[in-house]
Amino acid sequence: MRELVKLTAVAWSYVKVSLALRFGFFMSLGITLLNTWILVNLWDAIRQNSPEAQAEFTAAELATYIAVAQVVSLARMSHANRQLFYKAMGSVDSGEIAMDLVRPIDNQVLRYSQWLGVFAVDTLMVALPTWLVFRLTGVIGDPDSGVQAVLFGLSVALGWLVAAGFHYLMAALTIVVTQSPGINMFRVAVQELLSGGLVPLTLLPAWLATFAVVFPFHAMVSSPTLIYIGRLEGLEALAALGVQAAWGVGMIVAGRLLWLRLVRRVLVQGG
Amino acid sequence: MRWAWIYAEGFRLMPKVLAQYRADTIATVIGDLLYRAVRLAFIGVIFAVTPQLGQWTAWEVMLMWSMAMLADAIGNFLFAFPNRVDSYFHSGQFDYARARPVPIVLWANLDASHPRYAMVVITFVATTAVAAANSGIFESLGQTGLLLLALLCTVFVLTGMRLIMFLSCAWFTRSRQFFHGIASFMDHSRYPIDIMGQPLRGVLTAIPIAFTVFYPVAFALRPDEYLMPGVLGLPVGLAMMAGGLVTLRFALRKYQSVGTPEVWGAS
Repeated sequence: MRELVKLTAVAWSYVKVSLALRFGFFMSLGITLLNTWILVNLWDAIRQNSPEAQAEFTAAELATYIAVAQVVSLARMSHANRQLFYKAMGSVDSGEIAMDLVRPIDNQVLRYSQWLGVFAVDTLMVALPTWLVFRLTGVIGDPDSGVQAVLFGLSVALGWLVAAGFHYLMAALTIVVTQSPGINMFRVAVQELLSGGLVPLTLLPAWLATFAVVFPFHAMVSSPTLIYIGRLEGLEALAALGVQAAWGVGMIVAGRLLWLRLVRRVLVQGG
Repeated sequence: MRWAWIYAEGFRLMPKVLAQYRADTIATVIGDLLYRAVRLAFIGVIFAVTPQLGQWTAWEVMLMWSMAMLADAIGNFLFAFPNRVDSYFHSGQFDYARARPVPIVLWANLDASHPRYAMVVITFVATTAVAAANSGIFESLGQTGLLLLALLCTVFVLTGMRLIMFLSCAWFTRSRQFFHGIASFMDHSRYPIDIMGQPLRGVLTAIPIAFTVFYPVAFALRPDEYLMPGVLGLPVGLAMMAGGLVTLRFALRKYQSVGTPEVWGAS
C-alpha cells in the first residue's frame, strides 16, 4: 500500500513535469502525425499490388489498423517517455544509479511510476490528438461497439504494462553492458516490427509471425489494435487481454529477479 | 593542414580508446548493425506480400534504403558533431572545446564519432553495390556517375538537416529529445515518394525529405523521368549544408557557458 502511494506521488509529479515541456509534446505530435500519414499511404500502395493484403484487409480496415497501431505504438515512445527510459538506461554509466539506490522507494516502483506518469500525459497529448486528426479526416473509423472501445482501452493499458516491463529489463541489462545506444536501436527496430506497429502480424512471413507471437511484442500494439478494428471480439478479446496481463506480470517478476541479481554488480565511482 | 593531421590522429586513436571498453563497443556495433538489418528486413516483409511498390522493384527500393543508410553513416562518421551538440550546449562541455587548439567543430566531430559508423559504412557500401548491380545501374557509366552524385547529395541534405535540427537547441529546447522521433520519421520517408498521395508528396518535397534519398536515386535509376528533381538534388543539398553552417554560426554566438558541466551519460 505504501509503495502504491509512492507510485502515485511519483507518477503525478512526472505528469506535471511532462506538462511543463509542452514544446516537446508538440514536436512528438507532429512527428507522429507525419509518420502515421506516411505509413497509411505506404500500406495503401502495398495493398493495391498485393492479393494477400487485399484478401486479409479491406482498404479502410488496413488504414485503420496502421493508424491505430501508430497511435498506440509503445515501441516508438514519445520524447519525454524516451528521455526517462534513456536516463534509466544511462544511470549506470553516469553513476546516477547511486542516487536511485538511496531513494526511499523501490527501484522498480520508481521506474514504473515515472513511466506511468509520462504515459498518461502522452496518451492525452499525443495519442488522443493523433487519433482525433485521423478520425476527423476519415482515415480511421470507430470501434464496432462501446464494449469494444472499453476492451481497447484496457488492452492499451495492459500493452503499456508489457512495454514498461520490457524496458525495465533492458534498463537493468545496462548494468552488464554500460553503453546502450546500439542495443537500444536494435530494441526499437525489433519492437516496431514484431509488435505489429509497422505491419499487421498476419502479413508477416509465417516463420516471423510465429516468432512475433512467441515473444511479448504482439501484446504491446497488435492486440489492442486488433480489438479496435474488431478482429478480436468477445472471448477472443478477453483471451488476448489475459495473455497481455500474463506477460505484464511475468515481466514484473522477471524484472525484479534480474534487478536483484544484477544490482550486486553495480560499481559506482562517484558518478 | 595542421588541423587535418590532428583530425586524422584523432580517428587513429579512437579504436584504441574504445578497445578499453571492448564489450560495450562490440555490443554497440552489433546492435547498430542489427538495427539496420531489421530495417532492411522490413523491405523483405513488404515485398513478400507485393511484387512491386508502385513502379519500383524490390532491388530499387533496397537501393534507396541502402543509400540512405550509407549516407547517414558517412555523415555520422565524418561529421558527428550535430548528434552531441545538444549535450555540449546544455552541459557546458563547449567550454572545454573552446580551450582546445583545434576548431570547435573538429574537436566535437572527433568526440562524437564512433567506429560503429565505419562498420555501417562498410556494410552499406556492400548492400548498395549489390542493390545497384541488381537494378542495372552499373550497366551504364552515366548512371553509375549519377549514383555517386546521388550519394553526395544525400550526405549533404542529411548532414545539413541534422545540423539545423539539432542546433535548434540553442534557441528552443533539448533538441536531442527529438532524435529518435526524427530518425524514425526519416526511416519512414525513405520509400518511393511517388507512391504517396499528392498532398503528402508535396509536404515531403517541401521539407525537403524527398531529396534525402528518393529524388537523387530515382534520377540515377530513371534519368529521363526524374530529370528536374534530380538536377535540383545537388543545389538542394548545398543549400541545406549552407543553411546548417549558417545555423551553426549563429548557434555558436548564442552559446553561453552554464559553468556546471554534467556527466555525459546523464544528459
